[in-house]
Amino acid sequence: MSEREMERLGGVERFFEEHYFTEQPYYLPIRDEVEVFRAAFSERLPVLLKGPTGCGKTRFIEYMAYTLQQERIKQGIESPDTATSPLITVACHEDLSASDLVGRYLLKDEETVWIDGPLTRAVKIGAICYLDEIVEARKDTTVLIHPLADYRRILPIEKKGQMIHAHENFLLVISYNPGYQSVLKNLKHSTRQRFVAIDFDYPPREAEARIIVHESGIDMRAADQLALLGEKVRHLREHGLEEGVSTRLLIYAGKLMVSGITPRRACELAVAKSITDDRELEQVVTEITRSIFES
Amino acid sequence: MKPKQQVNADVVARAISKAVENAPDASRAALGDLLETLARLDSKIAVRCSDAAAGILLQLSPSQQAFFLAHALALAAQPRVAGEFFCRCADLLQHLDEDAFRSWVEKGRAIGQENEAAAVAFFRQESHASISALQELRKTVHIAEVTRLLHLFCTAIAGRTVGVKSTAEAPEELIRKGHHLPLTDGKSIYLPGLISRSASHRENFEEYKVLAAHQAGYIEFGTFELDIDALLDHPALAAFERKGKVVDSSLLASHYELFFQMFDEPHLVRDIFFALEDGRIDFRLREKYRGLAPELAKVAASSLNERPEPLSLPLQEALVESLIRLSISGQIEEDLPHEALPIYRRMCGFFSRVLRPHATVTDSAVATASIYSALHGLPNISLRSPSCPDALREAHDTPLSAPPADARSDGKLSPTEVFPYQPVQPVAYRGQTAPELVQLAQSLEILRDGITRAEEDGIPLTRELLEELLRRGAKIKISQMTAKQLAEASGLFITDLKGVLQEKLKQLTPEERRKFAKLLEQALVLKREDRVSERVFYYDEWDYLIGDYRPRWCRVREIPLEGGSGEIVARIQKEYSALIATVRRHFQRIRPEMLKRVKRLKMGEEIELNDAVDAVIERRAGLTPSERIYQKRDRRTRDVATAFLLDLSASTDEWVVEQPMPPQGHRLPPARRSLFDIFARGDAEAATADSRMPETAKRVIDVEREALVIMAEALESLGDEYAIYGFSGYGREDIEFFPIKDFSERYSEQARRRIGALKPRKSTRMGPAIRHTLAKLAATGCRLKVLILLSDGYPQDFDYGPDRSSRDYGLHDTTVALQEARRNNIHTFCVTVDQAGNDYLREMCRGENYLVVKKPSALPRILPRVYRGLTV
Repeated sequence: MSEREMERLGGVERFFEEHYFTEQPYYLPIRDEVEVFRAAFSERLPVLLKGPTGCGKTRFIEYMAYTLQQERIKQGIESPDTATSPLITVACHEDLSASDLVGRYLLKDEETVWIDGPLTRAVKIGAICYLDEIVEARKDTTVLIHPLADYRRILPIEKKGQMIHAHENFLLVISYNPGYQSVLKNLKHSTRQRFVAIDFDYPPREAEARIIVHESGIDMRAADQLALLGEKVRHLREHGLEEGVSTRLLIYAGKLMVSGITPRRACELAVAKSITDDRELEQVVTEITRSIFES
Repeated sequence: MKPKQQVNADVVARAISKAVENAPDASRAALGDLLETLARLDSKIAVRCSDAAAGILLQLSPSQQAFFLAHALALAAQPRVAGEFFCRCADLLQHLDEDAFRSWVEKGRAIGQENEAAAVAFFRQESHASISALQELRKTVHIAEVTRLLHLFCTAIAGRTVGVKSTAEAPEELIRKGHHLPLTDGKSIYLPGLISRSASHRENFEEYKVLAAHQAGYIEFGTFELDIDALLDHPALAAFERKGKVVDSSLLASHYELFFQMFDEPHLVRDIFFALEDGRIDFRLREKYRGLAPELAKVAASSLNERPEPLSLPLQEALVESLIRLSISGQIEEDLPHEALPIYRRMCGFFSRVLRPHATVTDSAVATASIYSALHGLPNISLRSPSCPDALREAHDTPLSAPPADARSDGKLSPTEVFPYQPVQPVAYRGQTAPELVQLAQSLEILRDGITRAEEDGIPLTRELLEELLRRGAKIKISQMTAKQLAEASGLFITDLKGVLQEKLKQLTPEERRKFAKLLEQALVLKREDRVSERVFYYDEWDYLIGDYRPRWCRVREIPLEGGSGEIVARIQKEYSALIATVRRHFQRIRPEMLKRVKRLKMGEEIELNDAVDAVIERRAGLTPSERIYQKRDRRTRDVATAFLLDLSASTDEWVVEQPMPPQGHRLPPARRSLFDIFARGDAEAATADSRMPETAKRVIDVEREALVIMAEALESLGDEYAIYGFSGYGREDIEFFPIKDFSERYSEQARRRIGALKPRKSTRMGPAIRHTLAKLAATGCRLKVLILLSDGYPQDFDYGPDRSSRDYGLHDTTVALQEARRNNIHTFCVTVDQAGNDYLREMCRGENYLVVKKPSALPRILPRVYRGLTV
């Protein structure tokens, strides 16, 4: 089996969440985010991606990481044979400790071996390190990234008594969903004020329809209706729905439809039931679905 | 049960014979039977039923009467049940068919065999079982049951908050053609109170949806955005402008009024416009909401049946009616007289221009002008009149672009033949929305918002001042001011705004001034109503007598507390500074240990990797390794939300008993003062005033207040989320709920002032207050949710149960409310200073979840301990 084939099937063991791309990830620019990111990258300014869940933050960073690496390869700065993963993502959670990010000693045979954490690895190979949902990590862990996120660009490794200067292509990117975090879980100012913030929101209807077509393979007419559903449901954001329906869910609905589920049922499963537990709100979303789709 | 007082037999006999006499012939025997049977068992009920009989039977058809009386007789063994059934259930036959009605009554009868009180509530349609059974059987949809659903549905469709109400609640000015027609004022959609046309509940609901969607469509598809400036440049309207009509003479005219004023015949132009605009809205709805299209088509088709035949109308009206029919069904009318067809076809051509995916209200207005030109010159004569063909032929020869000739003025037709144009009958599902009023209200709101914004910038032109200016007829001028200018004006500072106003508001006649003031007021009222409606909540109540919930039984109003001073809190802070410091220290100690993960344990959930590696290294190095290589996940960071619910009943006005005796001559209030004592003397406040105590003495409410202040100080240092609410009220319709500090709110000066403003009020209906607090707690989404209830006695209200003197009803309801809390994973704890509290709290709170404070003055010290115990 070729490596490409294995990549496609998944289940291949990799270090952390290193991303190797076999083709360009699909991303449809909505505003000037691509230019802004390019500018930030050329100045090596850390970037904060803000926006609701499922609106394309992760896909955007994949797209940028791939595109920027391809450009370097084209310019002859990097060689395609030795190119390393352009992106390492870490899904942050409450128990994420400093060693989980930086690295730790492990036992191997009769000796201890230092294993780099994802952040250290990104710093060394010059990848974009993407800390997803950074607020979920504890605040003391978050402080660790401070020296990396300013002009110093260094990562202290306490356990080894070392300090690494970041690779020239290294960039720190974090994401943050301001919507559902409680008052207790907010980003510290000393953290957030180290980043250039790019705002994300769900794409406008036409663009979202194109995205749904591409991602789910459904026809344009149905995709347009799904995007309309998204737009309408998002109007309920301040009326009991914490978040509107994500583009991701609309794509799921599209995929269910492609596999032969009727549109109304697909939306009930992938949209109405997923976004709320409130029976009445679910009913509202179902009624909107029924209004938009004939069957 | 107490023996019933029976009524004198003569009186009963007279009442019955009178009722039978007044009854319709066919039902006399059956009614007599029923009333006699009742009289034997309970004469009081027999009299009540006799008195009501005439009105009840009147609403029923003869066959329904027999059916209904038979059912009542079948229930007569339980006279109270039969009485409720007889007096309250007749109108259900309007909404239920007989089979459904029969099975509903059967259900009630079965309940009656177990529990008479429950059956009474059932037939009063006050129990949960009754209403849910009705809902299953009924085909009628009432607005109340779909209000929230449609509100959210319309909000989603229109893209902004849209309320849904019954047309019965619509402002009188907006109702122009009866209460059955839907309408919108741009903020709320008013729909008929019930829909029962179709055979099933679902279909009737679908009709509601169509009505709501059409009104929401006005908002979504920009009906209210008509811009006269965009129209004036259009060639189709040039003809009307040239006529030299003064377009901008009106005071505070909306664009719609300016538009309609361009035409001589207001009814004709309105009818044409709405036919086109409603047609456009329906088209857009069908295009965008394909799932709704079939329902829309169904409602539209059935509305056609209610419309007059075009051929029965005079010429102009017939053509307008044909246009409306076209806009409803999309079918081209073929029955018109041969000569009228060319004009009709031209109208169809204009109409087709609004049926485009991107057509706007401007397109409708332009097409309106074109069609108006074609119709205006026609004589409104009967289609059967012999001169009709001639008139039509002539009109056909006139080119459209020329100013319309007035056929009536050239004397070919005798005036008797020509009817004045009568406005068409409105299309029921499209309703009676008046866009000019909506636009006006919107402009006024923009103006008002502008003023508010200016106020915020510190320029003192208040709303009152503006109204005052208008009332006095000061030199404020508004004519020629279009909505656009108002919008521009709103962006200016108040000085400029004044300038604009002065320039624009001129020559107000008294009548116009009144109109403006009224509109302004209306806009403000609308705003206020919105606020009010958001703050009223309904809750079910548990009736242990019937063993069922009474749905939507209690109305809880959220009332902002005003007028307190921060001094009281400052004084308490000073008085208790030592205690506050201690409690804070205690609480701060909670915090760090919560944040740490417990490591270096001998046993735990998982191996701590770093420690394990160290241990192995140590062993290799020949040292004794530590066994403490495990770690345990502690509780996560504190994720606690606590609501303190404070009893503000009149009895909290009592003096704390352990205090030294009050000065001579002062009588200690009775243990629980009757509410009527207080109301008889004015209100609770008056009661407070004359029972003044020396400074050192404290009332229950003062102690509660102190405890709260100390809690709040401590919690601020801990960082837990908390809220403080007070409650009181009088009767199930009027439970007062006072937010003192909400979860999202900070412990601000304002919150402190509200704590200062706490004072004893009326009754203690605990159930609904608890339920409302539970709803608020649930909304926080925190993992650990706690409700702490501070009270001074058992729950009590004048209508908390049928028997005023019995506590049982209130205790049961409160118990159930607390059970609901447990079911929703919310911890509850009751703290009371009522020394008799042990008696009832043991039942109410199950087990350990309550505390009777022996010395009320110790409450401030005890409450923080309670809190720690519950949340750590």
